[in-house]
Amino acid sequence: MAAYSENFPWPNSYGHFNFFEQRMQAHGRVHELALLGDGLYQITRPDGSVLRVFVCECYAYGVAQYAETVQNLGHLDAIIISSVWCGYTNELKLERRDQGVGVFKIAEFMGALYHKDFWRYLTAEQRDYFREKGLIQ
Amino acid sequence: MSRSSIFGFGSFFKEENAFNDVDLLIVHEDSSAASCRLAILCKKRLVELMDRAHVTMLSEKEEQQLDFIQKSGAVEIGQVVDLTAEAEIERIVVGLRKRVRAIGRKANPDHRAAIVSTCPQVDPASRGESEPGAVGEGGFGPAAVRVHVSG
Repeated sequence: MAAYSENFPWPNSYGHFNFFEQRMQAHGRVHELALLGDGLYQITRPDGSVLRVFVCECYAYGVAQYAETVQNLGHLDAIIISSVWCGYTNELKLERRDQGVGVFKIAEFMGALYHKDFWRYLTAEQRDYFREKGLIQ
Repeated sequence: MSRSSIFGFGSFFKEENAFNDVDLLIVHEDSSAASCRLAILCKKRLVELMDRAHVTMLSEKEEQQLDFIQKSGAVEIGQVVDLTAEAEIERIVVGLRKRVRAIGRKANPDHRAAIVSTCPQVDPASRGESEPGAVGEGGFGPAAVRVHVSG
C-alpha cells in the first residue's frame, strides 16, 4: 500500500513530500517552509509563530505511532498524513486535539492553518460525526 | 501485564511465490503508556530481526474503528506479553523466516534472489532441507495461526 521506507519514520522514497511542500509553499498562511529531515518540517506563519510538523505515509497512524514519533523527534505541533489511502485514528486525533497537537490529512491542514488554534480544526463532516458519537460537545 | 497481538497482512501472507514487503500489524490493548511502550518494543524488534518488515501499530479501540483486520484480511501470527516479549517475538520471526523459505522455493530464479535477500540465512538453494508440511510451509504452527473472522 503506502510507499514508505523500511525504517522509522517512513519518509517517501525521495525523502520529500512534494505534494505537501507545494501546497504549503502556495498557502497564504505559510510564510516559510523548511525541511528538517526525516519527514520533519518547520513552518513559520505570518505572525512569526513556528510549527514543528511531522509528515508521513503509513497505513494507519495511531496513539503508539505518535508515542514512537515523539520519542524519536521530540515535541511536535502537528502530524500530517500525506497519502490519500492512509489515515489516522479518531482516538489519536481527539486525544491530541485536547493537548494542542493537530492531527490532519493535508487538505484538513490547509484549512486548519487559517485558524490561530489550528489544532482544534475539524471539517464540518468530522464535527457532525464526533458530535453524533458524543465525542465532542 | 500488557499484551499485544501480532498480525500479518499483504502479499507476503497471501501470495505463494512473491512478495514485496512483510506487512505486520501490532494490536495493543489501549492508549496507556505501558501498552504503547510494549507495541513500540515489538515493532523495534520485528524491524531489527526481519528485513522488509513494515509495521503498523493500533490499539484495540483504534483497530475496531478502522476495521483494519477485516479490511486487510490480516491473520494473527502470535501474541506477546511484556515479560516474555523478546522470546515470543523471536518465535514469530522464526515463523516468518520459514515462510520466506517456502516462498523462495516456489519462486522463479529472478524472484528467488530478491526473496533470499530478505532473509539470507535461509537461502533455500543453499540448504538441503526437506519440504515442510502444509502447516509448516506457512511458517507458523497450527496453534499460532488463527484467521480472524469478523462477526
